[in-house]
Amino acid sequence: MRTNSELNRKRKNYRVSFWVLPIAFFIIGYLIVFFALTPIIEPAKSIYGLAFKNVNAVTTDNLQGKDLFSGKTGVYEGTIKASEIHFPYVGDKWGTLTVPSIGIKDMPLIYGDSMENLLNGACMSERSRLPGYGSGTLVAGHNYNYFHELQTIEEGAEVSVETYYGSYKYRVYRTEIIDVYESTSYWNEVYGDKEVLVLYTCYPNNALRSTHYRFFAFCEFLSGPKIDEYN
Amino acid sequence: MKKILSIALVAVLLLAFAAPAFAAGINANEQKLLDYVATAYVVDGQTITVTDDIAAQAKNAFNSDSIDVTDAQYKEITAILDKGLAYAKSKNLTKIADLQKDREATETLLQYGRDAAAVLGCTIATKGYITDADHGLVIIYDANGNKIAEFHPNLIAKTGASTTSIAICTLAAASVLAVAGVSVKKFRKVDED
Repeated sequence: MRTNSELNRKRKNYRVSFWVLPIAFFIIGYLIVFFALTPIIEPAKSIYGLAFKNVNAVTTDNLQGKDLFSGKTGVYEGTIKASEIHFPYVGDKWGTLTVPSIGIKDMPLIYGDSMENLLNGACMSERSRLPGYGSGTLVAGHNYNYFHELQTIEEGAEVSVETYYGSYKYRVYRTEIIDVYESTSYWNEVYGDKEVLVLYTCYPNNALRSTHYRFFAFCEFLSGPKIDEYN
Repeated sequence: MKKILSIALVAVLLLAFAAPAFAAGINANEQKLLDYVATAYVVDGQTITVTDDIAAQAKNAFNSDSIDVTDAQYKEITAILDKGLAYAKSKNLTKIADLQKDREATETLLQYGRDAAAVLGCTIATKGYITDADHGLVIIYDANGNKIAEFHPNLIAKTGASTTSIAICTLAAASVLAVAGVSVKKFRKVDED
């Protein structure tokens, strides 16, 4: 005959064995798996993207906005009133980039440089100005697809930008590798009162970690229509 | 310091720029607003003004087809900006770290932006935390749902394949460990036999 204390002990053991321990192990196990896997979730997503979503392809299939660019305008000079053109919204494709010397041809140019937009082409920072607006145009591209060859560009290289309102020509006058966490030496050029095009990408290509370095190509304005943004 | 207060103030501004009429270019009221935010302010002895990059983004927002600030809207917006500035001064917000620590202040400043946006039928959305360099995002939509502006803390984007490289390395490391584990087990078994 079992005593009450034996029965209580059995019940307690039952509770511990079948409820408390499994729940505790579940929670601890879940936390371990969560913290162990969190650092590789992004890379896993990246692999998925590479394997199944073709993120390396030069395509605007996943364009976040509209395609404003429908081909060359034939406008190479003069002044255009801002009121005569539609300004792009974030995610819109506003033109194409061509740099013959490094094999870049008709690369899509997107307005806004969020991570999503960077999957669709070379992206202009909204904190810079479109060509023709009299200041710097800052354009980023991933170094594993769109701007993979940018680091081979040389001074004197010709750069063309076709926009939905005009055609622009530039020439590379300087290249520089900058630690963007330590230096803002690009700042005066991007925000000066001269029209420039600044292309950049992460440096070096195929880095095995997140890098502070960017390769910059600074391009001087040669020709293209000016925009009068006050009319 | 400059940047974060500029962000907050200009976020208010940008939100306010979505009027329903077609209006590419910068009109007189929009220029007055640009001048307003370009004016230097002093908070806790430090001079604050809008940085060039934020000013460029504000100009772009003003150039949007759906933004055409009227005189009445200009007055309303500046009244909101004045309140935002007074709040920033009262909290002695002087650097970006101040907002990283003070979520209440961040939300309050964003609310000034939302108030201004509501005046014009615009909305503001956020992703992540505003000061998070990797994931923080402030998005401004006009009345038609068009994305006028996106603001993320870093001017220079991440353009490398770091996650892909890390993923490949992780897989490679895992494969090596797995092979090593199997080999060790096999050798032990042979030794035991």
